[in-house]
Amino acid sequence: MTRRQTHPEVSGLFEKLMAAEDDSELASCVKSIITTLGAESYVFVTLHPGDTSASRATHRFLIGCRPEWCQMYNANKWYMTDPFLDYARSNTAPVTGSQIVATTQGQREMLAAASENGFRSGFVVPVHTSDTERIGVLYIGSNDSQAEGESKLTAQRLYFRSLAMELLDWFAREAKRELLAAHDITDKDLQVVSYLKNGFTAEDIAREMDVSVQTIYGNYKKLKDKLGVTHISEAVKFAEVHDLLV
Amino acid sequence: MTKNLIFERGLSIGGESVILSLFKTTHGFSLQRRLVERDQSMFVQVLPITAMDDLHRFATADPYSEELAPLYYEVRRQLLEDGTVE
Repeated sequence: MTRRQTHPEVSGLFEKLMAAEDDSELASCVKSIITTLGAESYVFVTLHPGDTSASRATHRFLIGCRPEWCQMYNANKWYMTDPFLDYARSNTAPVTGSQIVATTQGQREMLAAASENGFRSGFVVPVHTSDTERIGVLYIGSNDSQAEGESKLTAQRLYFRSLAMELLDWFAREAKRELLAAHDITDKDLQVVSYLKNGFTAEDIAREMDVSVQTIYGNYKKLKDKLGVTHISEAVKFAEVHDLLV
Repeated sequence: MTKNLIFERGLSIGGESVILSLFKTTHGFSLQRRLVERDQSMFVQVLPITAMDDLHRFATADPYSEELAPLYYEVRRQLLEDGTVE
């Protein structure tokens, strides 16, 4: 049985990452963690395919690699054909670069460019939220040869998987915070929506919250105005799509 | 969370919009580049800036580097004015 090397300092970095106040601090923590674990580059992508609001961030990239690579990836719209993103949509098991086979010329070009930009060997970790609406993909890269790099990175699988999960949680929290602030949604609004989602009527909610039914209808109206929707069921849908009720 | 927007400007280029937002955070700066496509889908790149070279390389590699040059210039000016990024 192979004895796995442990990294006591990584635990401290993880704690720092979980409490990161902004994306600069977050990025610095991620860089420290992956460097300690033997990698050199990373990109973390979050996707939220279920979001159908007007200006939706379908892909968000946290860049921890050569900036040129991210620009090239976007300019070529490789997110449309990236075989790792395709894999991540329906899988959660981490994979090495060599486990995913490029099937088109475009994919081969993308992988060749990745190899020249800090991802000569790679390890990719997909993560999903419980409702699978939000997906995260952590790309870890090293300039070691494919065989050597993949072996080294695979040995740190548990850490990379934890890292990807923490990153997805961090971005989900941040997205929720931004959305609540943008629409001025209060805890009380969320409480009402949560009752509605569970099938409560206005009368039930009024009883639970110890207020009048008219007050609840007043809450409905305020919330609809905040979200610019015409029916309260749309507010419930909005909250579900954006994971506001967790 | 301490994240302050200190510069934001966008351009429409060929039916797409690109918006650059520079944030000052407790721990440095981050540049957000948002690309909004014709169908309103949005691609957001977040570049933590620890050195001026990060910005220079990102700007030079931007497929719209020519069109966005004045905006990147302004971002650079903001960073130089702050004086904490070398």
